[in-house]
Parts: sequence; C-alpha cells; structure tokens
Amino acid sequence: MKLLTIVHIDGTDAIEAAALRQRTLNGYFESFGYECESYLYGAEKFYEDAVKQDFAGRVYAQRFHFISAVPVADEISALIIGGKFDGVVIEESELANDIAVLLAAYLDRRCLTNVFSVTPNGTGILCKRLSYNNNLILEHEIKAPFVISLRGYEKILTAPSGAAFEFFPLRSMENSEYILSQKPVSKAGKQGNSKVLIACGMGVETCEEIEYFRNYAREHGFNFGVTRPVAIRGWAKLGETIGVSGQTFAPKICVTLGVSGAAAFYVGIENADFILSVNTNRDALIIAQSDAAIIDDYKNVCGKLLDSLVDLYATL
Amino acid sequence: MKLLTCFKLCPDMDKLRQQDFEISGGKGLETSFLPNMINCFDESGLEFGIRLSEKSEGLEPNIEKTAFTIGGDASEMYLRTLKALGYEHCVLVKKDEDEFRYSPCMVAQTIAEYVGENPQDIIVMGKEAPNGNNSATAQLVSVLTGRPLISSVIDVKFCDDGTLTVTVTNDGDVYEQTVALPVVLSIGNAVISKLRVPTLKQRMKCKDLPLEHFKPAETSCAMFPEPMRAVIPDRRRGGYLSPYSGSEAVDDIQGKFLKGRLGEA
Repeated sequence: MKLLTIVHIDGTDAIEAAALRQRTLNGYFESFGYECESYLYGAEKFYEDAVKQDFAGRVYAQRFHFISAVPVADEISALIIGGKFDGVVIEESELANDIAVLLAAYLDRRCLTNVFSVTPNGTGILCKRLSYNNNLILEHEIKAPFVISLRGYEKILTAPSGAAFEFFPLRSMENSEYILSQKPVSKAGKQGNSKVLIACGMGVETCEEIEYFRNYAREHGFNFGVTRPVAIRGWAKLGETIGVSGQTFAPKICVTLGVSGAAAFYVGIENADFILSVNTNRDALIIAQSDAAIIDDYKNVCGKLLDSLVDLYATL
Repeated sequence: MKLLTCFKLCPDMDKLRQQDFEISGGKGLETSFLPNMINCFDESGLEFGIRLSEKSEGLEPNIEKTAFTIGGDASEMYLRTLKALGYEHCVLVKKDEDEFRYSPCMVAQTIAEYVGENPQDIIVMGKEAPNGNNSATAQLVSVLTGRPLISSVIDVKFCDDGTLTVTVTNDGDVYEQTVALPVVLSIGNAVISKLRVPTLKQRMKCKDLPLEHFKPAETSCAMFPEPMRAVIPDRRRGGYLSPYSGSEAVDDIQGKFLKGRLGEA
C-alpha cells in the first residue's frame, strides 16, 4: 500500500517540529508495511537545505501565496493521481479537514475527518474520532482508497522513519482565481511548549484577572489559555482558546481555574501529565477529570499556588 | 444579491452531566432531554448575514437573505425567530436528525439542490457541528455547487465594488482576503458569536408568516463510512479532593502530589 502524508508548515521556524511529526507518522505506517511519501505546503518557500536534515523519505514541497483549502487540494489531487497513492493521511492543521473532504470529493475516495487514532488492520484502517462535542468516541473502518485528516491524535510510540531523504520542490502557486488579494493581519503569537499550563474559565470573574494570569504565565514561561466562553466574552483572544476550536497542550502540570470541564475544552488538556483544578463547584465535570482538585474560590488559593508553580517550574 | 445561511440545531452539550451519558441507537448519545441551541459557528453566520444586509441597505444591490435548516419540528421556532430578525426566506427541510447525523453528503446534496433552484451569491455555514463532527458539509457544498470555499472565516465585510473582504485564520495566523462572488464561506471562531434577539414587536409582525419547505435529497453517497461502534470515553482521573481550603489546600496538594516534582525529599 502506498500512502501520502500531508504536513502544513507554518513558517520557517516550525520546520523542525513539523519534520518530527512527519517522521513519526511515516515511521508508524512503515512499521505496518506501508510505503510512505510526504507533501509539505505552506506560505514560505521551501529550500532543500532547510528541510533535508529533518524530513525522511520522498518529500514534495509547494508554496502557496494564498493559503486556502481549494488551491492546495487542487494541487494535491494531481499528485495523488500521478503517484497512485492508496491512502492519504493529513496531519493536524486548520485546513486539514477542508483539504481531506475536497480531495475525497474530487477523487471519489472514502473519507474520515477529525481522526485521533489510526490502526492498520490488514484490510483497511481502524479509526477513532470524537463526536457530540467530544463526548463520544466513534470507531470506523475505512478501506482504500481513502483520505483521513487527523486531529489531536494519540501519541505514536513507533520509531520515526529513517527513509533516505529525496526532495521534489513543486512550482510555487502565486495566483488564485477567486482570492483577489490578501494581506496578513497578525501572526500567531505562538506559545512554545511549556511544562506548565494555566487555563482560565468563566469562574475567573474579571477581564483584569484574566489579564493578570496571562501576564503571570508569560513572565514565568508558562503556557496560558482560556475556555471558549471566556474568549467569546472578549476577555481573551480567540487564538488563546484551549480545546476543539483552539489549541491543544501536553504539559507536565495543568492548572485550571474556574473551568467547568466541557468535553470540547478537555480535549485541549487531556494529554497533560497532571491536572490540578480549582473550582467552587465540586460537581463540575472537571473535578473528576483532574488528578487533584481544590474546592475553593481561586482567589483564596491562586497567590500561593502560582508561587509554588514557579518553584516547581524551576526544578522540572 | 442573494445570501443563504445554513444552520443546524444541536443539543446544548454543556448541560449534559457525566451521570446522564447513555448511548442511543448504538451510534449516538441520548440527548433528547437537553435544550436545543443553534450550533455556535452557524449562529455567527446568521448574525453575519444580518450585518451584511444592514450594511447594504440603500445600496444596490441589497441583500435577500435565506435561513436554511434540516431537522425536526423544533427548528420551526428558530426559523420564526430568524424571520423576525429580517430573513426574508426561512426554509425547513424536515428530516429526523438520526437519519443524517453521519451523512454530510445528504445535507450537502440538499443544500446544493436548493441552490440549484434558488441561485445564491454567498453561502454561509459553520465549519462544524457537534453531533456528527464531520466537518464536511461546507466543502461538499463547495464541490457540488462549483463555488470556491473560503474556510475558517472570522469576519466578513462588503467592498464597494461588490467583492467581499473576509478575515480568515490559518493555524493562528490571521489574513484579510478580498474574494470574488459567488463563494461558500465556512465560519470558524468568529469575532461575532451571538445572534441578536428580536423585539416582541418584530416577533408579532412575523408570527403568522409561513415558513418555506424543501425536500431532502436522495443520495446513495458512500464517501463517509458509518461508525461501527460508539464508546463513551472514560476521562476520570484520580479526582483527589483536598479536604482543606485556601493556602492549606495548596500545602496539601503540594505535599501529596507535587513534592516529587519539586525535587524535595
């Protein structure tokens, strides 16, 4: 079986992280006998020297001036037909689902989106995905030819692919028939991977306190995020949302303050090693989902708690 | 100019307690006892429709708005609200949600058939809805209607020359794009997230106006494999509750759980 893995590269500084994901994903499928090739796309030009030390196997790379699902899917579909790929697996990114469905529709393939677990079983691939706002796991079997897009997928423990690197730069796509112009508004203020995450929910009572926790996190090198309702209220940027419509984290310690624990949020922190929650409501969902909880107003504990986190962070 | 906004009613999953989790029909969750709400991404789309229409007032062409949904009788009340908010056409496709939850092809085909009979310049819909979580309808509508897709839209404005300026996100980066019509917009984490509430006067004015109905599409599309099994995830962890409060609770947690991590004896 021949597989194409698709990876979005978000800026030149993200190459190393993207490459690790590509090698891990390819290594996993190669361990089941798949032959893997990869396609990289992004807004930056790809230079062989920049990618050859990090990626494995045959790698196609293409730059798009207008980042939008349709031109990317158009280009990949031609590649899939030419390369006779049995399956396509799209690494998690904001456009992954869009590209997956467009490709499946163009090429008349089976499709699954938002897949977090893939297990080849000889005749096809067993996939697990979340539905009902992440409150239900659905199990599917998908047979070739297929297109799968991943989201928040489980840690893969197989050795990364060590296939010999071959580079095939494809023509840059500078134009679009329907996007007439484009200007960047802001770059993502991407947070690095910290070992401590502070997550604030609607229980945090004022915008100023959210701001305080954000600044505290930034000052001490922690990650910071909020639940969607906090962002919708305008107290935080939408980009700071944790969960299904935002970022996912895998810190050593996650502290939630005034978070109820809706499944859509929990997906963003479930890979944390240790979850400590502070909430006044002992029946809140987050309490059972935490390793430990303090039933109290966050104002009574956060001063000492944050100081102890700073001490902890220094020794992690 | 014509604008179609598609929306879906969903159960308010935040109201679901852990002890109420129950599999229904082998492939879904029992949610019949939960209150309904408009899917949050669709809600933004519906409000965008009204705002675009307000901006175009007095200009040529002004916007004729249609709200479109597939679902059961509960949808009627929401369509009447949208009628009161100024949606000229409110279209209901009656179909039980169990029949299309994991069938985005049927939903997209129905929308495409409606657009075939009632051509639209702008089609707006949320990027995903909780029950099926297929994240596929907007893309399929784009393919079936031959209109380009702009996804993860967080803001929309009209330009004087009849084009649209859309603000889109891509993995956290934000871009402003000028796009030609016709187009399909899939709404992401939009800046505007709440649909306004109609006044009593607006509601009374529209209460007897008829809703429009449309037939669900027949489709044998097998693009999306049906789920074989549904499982409720067990997300319980230790769940240790400190018997203390305030700084004593921090000492307690630190002593029991964080000590090793702190590198203390």
